[in-house]
Amino acid sequence: MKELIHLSVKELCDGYKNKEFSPIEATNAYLDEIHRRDSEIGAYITVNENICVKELSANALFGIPYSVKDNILTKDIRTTCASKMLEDFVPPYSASVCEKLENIGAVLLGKTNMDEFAMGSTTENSAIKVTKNPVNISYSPGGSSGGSAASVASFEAAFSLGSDTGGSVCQPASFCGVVSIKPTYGLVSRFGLVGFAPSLDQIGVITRNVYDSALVLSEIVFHDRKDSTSANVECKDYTLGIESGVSGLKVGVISDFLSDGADEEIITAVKNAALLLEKLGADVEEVSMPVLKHATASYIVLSSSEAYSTLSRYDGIRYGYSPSEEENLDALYTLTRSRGFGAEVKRRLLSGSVFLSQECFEKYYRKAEKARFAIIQSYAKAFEKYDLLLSPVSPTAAGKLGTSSGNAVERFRSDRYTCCANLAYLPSMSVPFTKTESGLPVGILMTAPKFCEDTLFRASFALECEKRGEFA
Amino acid sequence: MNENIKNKYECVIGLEIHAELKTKTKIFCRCKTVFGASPNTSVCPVCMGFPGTLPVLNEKAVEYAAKASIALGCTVNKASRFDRKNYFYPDLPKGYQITQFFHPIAQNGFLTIETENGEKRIGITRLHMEEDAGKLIHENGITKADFNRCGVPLIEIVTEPDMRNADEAVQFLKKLRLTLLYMGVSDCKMNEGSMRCDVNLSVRKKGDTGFGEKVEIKNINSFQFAHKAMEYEFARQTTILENNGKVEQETRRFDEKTGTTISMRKKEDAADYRYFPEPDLGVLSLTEEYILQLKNQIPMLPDERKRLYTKTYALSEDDAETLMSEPEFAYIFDTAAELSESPKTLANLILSEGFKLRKEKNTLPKLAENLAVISNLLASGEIGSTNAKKVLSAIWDSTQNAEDYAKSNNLLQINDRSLLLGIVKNAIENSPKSVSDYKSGKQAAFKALVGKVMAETKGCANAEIVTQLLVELLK
Repeated sequence: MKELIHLSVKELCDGYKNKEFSPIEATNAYLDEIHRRDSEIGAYITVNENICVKELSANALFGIPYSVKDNILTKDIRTTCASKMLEDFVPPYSASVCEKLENIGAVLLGKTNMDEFAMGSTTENSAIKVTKNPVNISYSPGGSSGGSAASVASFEAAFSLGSDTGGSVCQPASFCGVVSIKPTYGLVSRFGLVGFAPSLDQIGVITRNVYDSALVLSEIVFHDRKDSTSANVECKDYTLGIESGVSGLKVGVISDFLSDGADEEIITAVKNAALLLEKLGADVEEVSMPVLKHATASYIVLSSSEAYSTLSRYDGIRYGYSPSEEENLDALYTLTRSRGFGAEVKRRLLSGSVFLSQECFEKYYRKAEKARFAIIQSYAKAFEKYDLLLSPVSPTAAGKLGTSSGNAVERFRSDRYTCCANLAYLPSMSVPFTKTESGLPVGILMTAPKFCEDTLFRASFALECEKRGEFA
Repeated sequence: MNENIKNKYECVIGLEIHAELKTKTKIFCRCKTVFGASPNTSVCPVCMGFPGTLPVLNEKAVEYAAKASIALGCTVNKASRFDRKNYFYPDLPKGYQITQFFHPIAQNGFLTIETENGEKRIGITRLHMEEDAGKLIHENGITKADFNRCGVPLIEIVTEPDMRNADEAVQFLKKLRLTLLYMGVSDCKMNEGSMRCDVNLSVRKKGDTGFGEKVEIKNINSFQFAHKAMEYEFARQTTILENNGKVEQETRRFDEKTGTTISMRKKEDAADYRYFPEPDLGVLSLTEEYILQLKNQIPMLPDERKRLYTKTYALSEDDAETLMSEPEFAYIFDTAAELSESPKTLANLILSEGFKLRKEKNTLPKLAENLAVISNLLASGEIGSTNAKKVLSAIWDSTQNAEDYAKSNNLLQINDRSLLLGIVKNAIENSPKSVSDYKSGKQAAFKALVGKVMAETKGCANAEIVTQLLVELLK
């Protein structure tokens, strides 16, 4: 029999139902693994010491041990955003999704490491610790939800909740060889997700297989009155129809992304994925969406501007880091924010304040808005013809720890495929497809029209079935 | 200031008014809106700007803002948006205020005021919604922050620079206040901060069409101080211009102690608020039906009410204005007036005695019907004015019928001539000195005789009849 920690979410659920083993056993198995492996992997910032497994219930996800990225608030459990600013912050309330998971009896194992305030793509911007890629510990797990992806890949959690603003769920999942979904904007409540760029942020799910992904998403999709951007949707069971295959599905491969400098192995992987989908019955062809080349610039401007504003609340007055020196107000702000924030956060906040300044507003912010609108139109046009769009997740596979590019804009450019879905409010999913020659996982990114997550699950499931065995 | 100099220049005034909407809860969270509560007892993670919190718009606040817009003759926009105004200050937890900068809920309205040259229209450029900040209290070198007020819904009303002197500006403020009171959307108490006013004032030579440099004046806490501030500022700017100087564009504080304005910050130091659309809130969409529904709920506004009082009840303008000054009281008057046979008598009763009692007792009369009853008794001569006032005071806070009270306390007027004849005769018999004094020309003695009859009848004698009888008998 497989070890408990190697079971999928579905297998755990079935096992509980059939009384083959109990949630307490599974939870303990995970805690043991965390104690065994995490000093090496570093996925967790905080392990939940007060786990109590509720009485048996028929709820889906009951008794399933999971981890949560440390920018999603959990009541009475330290939530740091991997920043000095919130190092000792214990929230008096939980995010709506965490409340839901708690109510249905899922088991919170702990809070995972991330790039500080979700700004970064390698998790190396964490002010707390370094997380290693479980596939190869010399490499980064990606970011900013690196800890979440690593915890799932190293069997230290059955699933994880991360957050995605420009690729922060899809990219680390791809780098660690696991599955992820970034839902349509507004599908999952943002109440209790520490804001970075509110018009781009979404909570996403990371799992080891596609079916689990659908299972978990089904539980965290609900209309939340506490979030004014929450979509008015009915709860859906995303596992229904997941096995219906891709016959007749119209797939567009974004050709621009195959000729803008991605690694050869990455391009080959996408082409092979396209061929495979065709073999499985989909209509696949290339589509050019030249407007998408403006995505990175638009993303940099809009996300930095929103971040500048959204992080202004960290001033040392009501909560969070506060300097011990008592001086004047200016000193309070300056010391709190220069000491509390790391370099990347400061870089983005300062950029944001420039983009929004009177002199630059029209030239940068308004222009970025226009570009965003053009990108939305471009996708809308593409989706008149296609059900699904295919592209790489990232121009490279995971990078070695400590080798991140020194140029800030270059680092942003590595998000150029994933940030499009955030800009266009669309759902996207990354599914493991192959490995590089050096053994690093390479995933495929799929994007669907708004609220068409089931198309993503269908296609991903089909690909996964074909590739089963390659990612044992 | 020299009249000649004054006449050379023209004062141009625009106003920015903030009014707190009297909703039960705050604009973006469910905290109660309170005044004078213990610090930080009506707060939550949302209005305190905790991480991960999100704003949810209070529909009542929208309703009140829309109603105010309609009452001010504005076009209510079917689509408006919220924006972030970014700056750092301890009373602003999120480091930004959620306001409406680019697309306000309403614009292009007006209010008419009375000036010495007749009616004048003051344009209202725009009306928008925003959240209030907290309060800072400075004590012994420490600054404390109270976030109770943080998140209270505000409407900001910006006028066109249509006012030409302090009087007009104060007229506008009074009219605006009254309108908002009648709309029931705000308490408009400047002393409690539920109505605040900033003044924008510039000066130009009479006949010039361009505008002079604009100075913003803050810290105005009453209509009187507003008047003082504007007069002072006009004089200050005019003096500068007379001496061929340049007025600096800046923000000044009105200092109550000295009655002057003092420079706060120059134009160059003005903050760049980095406005951009609030991503946590969607477009505020109001349907045609909704706006129409609100239009139908607009109560009688001050202008119409004044017409009603002056034309229908034949009140003087001044009396009408006094009667209208407190909406709750005016509504009671309305109810009573419908039941009264002589609304004019009713009005006079309220104007002469009612307002005094209102202040003394600090309550409104319990039963509007009683006011009608007393006014009817007065009009028909069944009660004298002194006793009417007694009854009014006695039943002010009670539900007892006024007439019953008057009857059981023997306060009704005695109009029986024959009965009075007897009492008058008695008074004459028992006051020989007064009689002789009167006969020798002392009018005061007559009053004394009347007084004796009144005393005898406990003030109930019909004074007219008594006078007639006395005159007859003393002939």
